[in-house]
Amino acid sequence: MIQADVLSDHPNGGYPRRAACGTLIRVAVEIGVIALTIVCFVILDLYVAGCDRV
Amino acid sequence: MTSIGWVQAILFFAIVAALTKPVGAYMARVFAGERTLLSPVLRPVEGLIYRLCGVREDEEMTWYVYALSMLAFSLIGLAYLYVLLRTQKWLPFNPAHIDNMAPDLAWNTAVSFTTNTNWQFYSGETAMSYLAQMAGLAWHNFASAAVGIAIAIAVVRGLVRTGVKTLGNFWVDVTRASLYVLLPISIAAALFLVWQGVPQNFHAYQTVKSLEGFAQTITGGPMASQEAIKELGTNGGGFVNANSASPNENPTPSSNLLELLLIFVLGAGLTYTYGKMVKDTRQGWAIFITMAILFFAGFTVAYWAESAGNPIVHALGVAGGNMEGKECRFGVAGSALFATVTTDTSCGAVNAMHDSFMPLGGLIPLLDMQLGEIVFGGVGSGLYGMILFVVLTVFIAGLMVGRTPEYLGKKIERREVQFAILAVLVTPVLCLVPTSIAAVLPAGLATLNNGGPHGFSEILYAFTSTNANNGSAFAGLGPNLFYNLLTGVNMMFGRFAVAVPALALAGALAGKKAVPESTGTFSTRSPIFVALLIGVIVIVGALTFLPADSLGPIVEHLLVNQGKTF
Repeated sequence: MIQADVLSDHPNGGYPRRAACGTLIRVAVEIGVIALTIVCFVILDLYVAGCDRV
Repeated sequence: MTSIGWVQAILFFAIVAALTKPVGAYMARVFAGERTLLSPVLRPVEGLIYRLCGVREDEEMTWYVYALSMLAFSLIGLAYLYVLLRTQKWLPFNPAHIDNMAPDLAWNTAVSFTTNTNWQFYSGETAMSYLAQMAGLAWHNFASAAVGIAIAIAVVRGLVRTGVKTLGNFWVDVTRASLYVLLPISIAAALFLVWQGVPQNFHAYQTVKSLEGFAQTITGGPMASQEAIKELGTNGGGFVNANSASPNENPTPSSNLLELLLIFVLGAGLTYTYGKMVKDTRQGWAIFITMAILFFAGFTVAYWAESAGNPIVHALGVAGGNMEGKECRFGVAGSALFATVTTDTSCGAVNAMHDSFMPLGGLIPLLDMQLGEIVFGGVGSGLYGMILFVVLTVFIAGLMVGRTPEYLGKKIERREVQFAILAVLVTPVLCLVPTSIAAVLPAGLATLNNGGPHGFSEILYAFTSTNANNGSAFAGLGPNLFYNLLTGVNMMFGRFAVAVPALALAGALAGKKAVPESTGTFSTRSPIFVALLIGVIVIVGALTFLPADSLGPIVEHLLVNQGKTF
């Protein structure tokens, strides 16, 4: 019987869906925190520019 | 309260006061580029660093370039630590075979150490390799502290200089702060701690059989070297989860005293450096006395609250002070003293669990941070935070007498007050807004271990601590994606959104001409000024947070007295 969390069409006989989701989430969070860092530092650069214009 | 408890606090502070002048005078010489005792050894190293990095020592920066250099340096440091934490499993010096950190936690930790916060949503002994501890966290302990000192020195230069647009060179200031101030003291302190029994090795963790017969794992590692800069740089991130409550990190009364001194010594010394740089040491002493009064006020309340103990425990027939979450070897006085010192500054190291303090005892660390940690403060950030309050105070004094306010001969006008107000408002906004969001969202309540006002205090404390770049925790609040990201953003803006207007203020003041002092000038070195400054700090700083504090520790105090606990 194929477990609900195993993909039956995988060439190696399937892999746990939960693990795949975990990896996907991990990659998404990885990209997310990098993007968040860039956004925060852009805002801080604009903040510096804003203070210069006061 | 006992007399021996007071002796501990007074003796500690007497040593701090005695060290203030020599340490401050030394730092004034360092940042003026003058020769010091260590110059024969360190000057060639300093020159080599400039040559390798392409830094021109005599090149001056405007506040704008200074601020952007600070941001660029911090961004590169953050990225470096993030990569290190995400790859530590495959790198050397990992005898405990510790896995790579999850991305959101690695990001939170990288931001935390870059901003001098050292908020830890992990346990060092189970989440960090020795390489990450040494080359990642300890490096940031030096770098972030040096950045804080550099900003403070730049801000003071803005007050001293007249008719110019520049504040010094960021790279030179950071190098000198690291090389001449942080490194020598850290090396000496680390050796002292090794002598006291703090581990300094690369051994794997030892598993031993305890006297009771069960197996116990004892952590080792390069602990002493990290412990010294952890306190000196007011960073506070523990090598192990129990921080300075652990007998490994803080084994003896002497190590405890040294750690307390390291936390205060540079913040106190910088007040004298300030006096030397503005060529009027009484200005520096006025700030020192203001800080000293606030320190003793905080300690008195915390010590009294902890000594009074828990009425619910007293009803069970157990007399005495509140000993929950405290090391017996430090007791009530030693724990209250450490808690006050660590939150007056941006350190955040602990030798007792603040979560277990009585409500009013826990209110003091919270209030210390809410004031902006201007009582000796984080290295550098304490001084420039206090200067922002000084600017507000002379502005208010000027309004009272109907005269254009002046500070050190510089007229304080609309632009300067705007920068000071902006910096002072950042703290409550970044503390209270995320707290209110977390208190109503399911994700914010999901990892909370306590309910009622105590649970609210835990959320408030987390955002106060991260925003103030303190890093101590009220515990009881676990990590999740929501807290990792929100506290990370909070730490970043808590650090830089205050530093930037402080530098802008300095840039504005540097361009002004100084006017000579006249009979109508409000003296900023008199007892009246000290009293007014304390009044402004309490009214502007503390009262902003009174409604939130009322919902947390103050309500909890009233309920504990009625026999309710959370």
